Amino acid sequence: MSFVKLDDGHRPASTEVFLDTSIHCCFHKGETLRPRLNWLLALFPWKGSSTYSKVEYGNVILATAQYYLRKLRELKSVARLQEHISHVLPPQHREYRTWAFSLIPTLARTEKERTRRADASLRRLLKLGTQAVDARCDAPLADGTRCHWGKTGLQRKRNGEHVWKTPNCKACNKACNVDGFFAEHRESFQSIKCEIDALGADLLTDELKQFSRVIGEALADPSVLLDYDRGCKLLADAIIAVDGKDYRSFVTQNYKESRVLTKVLGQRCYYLPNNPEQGVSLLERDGAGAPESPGV
Amino acid sequence: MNWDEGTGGGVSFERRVGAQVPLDCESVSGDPCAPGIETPGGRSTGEGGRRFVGMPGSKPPVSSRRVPDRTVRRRRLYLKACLDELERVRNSGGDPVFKGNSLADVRNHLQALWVEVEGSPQSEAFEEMINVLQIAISVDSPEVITPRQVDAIWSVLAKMHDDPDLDDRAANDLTQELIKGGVDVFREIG
Repeated sequence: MSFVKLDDGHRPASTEVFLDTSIHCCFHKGETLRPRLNWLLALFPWKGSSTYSKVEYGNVILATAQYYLRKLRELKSVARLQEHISHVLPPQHREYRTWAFSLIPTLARTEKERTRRADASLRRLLKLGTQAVDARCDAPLADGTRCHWGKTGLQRKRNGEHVWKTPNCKACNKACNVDGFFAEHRESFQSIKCEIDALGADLLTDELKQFSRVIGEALADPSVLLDYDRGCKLLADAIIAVDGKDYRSFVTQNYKESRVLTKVLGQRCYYLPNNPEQGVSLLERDGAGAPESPGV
Repeated sequence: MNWDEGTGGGVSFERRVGAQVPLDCESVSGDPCAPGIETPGGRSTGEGGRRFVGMPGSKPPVSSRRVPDRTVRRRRLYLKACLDELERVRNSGGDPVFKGNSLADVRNHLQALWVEVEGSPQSEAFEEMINVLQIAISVDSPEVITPRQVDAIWSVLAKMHDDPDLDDRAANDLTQELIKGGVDVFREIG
């Protein structure tokens, strides 16, 4: 298995592509990713995703937007906010070092206006919430899990402020169909577990080990997935991948996990690295049952 | 058959340029025939002292608007000017200079709207949308904006013109429409 960098003449083997959660987050990662992402997505007339991705999008993008907005109002200046993010934030919170507000200085003349614009942008992003996932895909999204939190996770306080709540789903209070979804696609999850268990130590990541363990538990009792922290959160990427298994192409930023998942599900795996020099890659596989060679 | 007959390729396109009307003398009522005069209704119409007459016990109708009518009219004025300029962009036939000039005018009108609405607690959603639209057309070169994006921006501006008193739900719908039209609305954050 190896990733091959694509050139401008690439022709995809399918008309549809499935967007992993990491790709929804890519839209907020600045100019290094955006042109490549737009080029890749323009190759596919149909773009799909999973409703479960909304939870992941909320946990990453909306939670970050909420933090930035709170800090911006506290510090009352976008320049001071950026300084805080760069110099004060401890390394364990590096996930917040996401946004640079790169365009704000060209639009605004004064720091007050820049701050006001940053506030307006963050507010809009938060208010739009998980509808951003719907807007970037063709309807309907795959909805095998009938994820409840994706629809209700964004809440409005009495003072009008929007907040993203981290999921706290419990098995005793069933609100979705993740257990039924697992039972329906039991063979797929079982194949994923077999594939992971057969991997060499060099290809095995902590997340893949976690997939294998949780799938093992869910094979015995699918209701363990109803508990967010001990179930579906730990299997999120695998659930999303299986929800999109009818798509023949899959695009992701998490190549370590996705190369295993797409191999089992018989999909072509497009990889969008952060480094712009690496362009966009397609996973090439050898052997029976693997996707055809790319036309590059 | 001449190939051009079937494809329309032989048709010569003429650049259609809409008449430029200075903002200060355009109708504020939206009616092209109406003069651009605003009057305090009470004095000019003699309706100031008129009281609501309805069924006993019924209350007078309450406007659902959160911003004054005068503000709505001013917003419509600028939005209409943006729509006219974008119509010129659509009809510019790809001329980059023409397109660039019209987009610069749209930017100026949106900036005027931003100055009016900035920090207004009753108009948060409208302020957010103006900011989003300014970001959408803030590009280094006018060629970068595609016809599909122009159409999406035009459509959103037209809806804002129809109802300039936006709420969050309407703003969400408009933001989605922009994203679906290929406009990168959160470009400035990344």
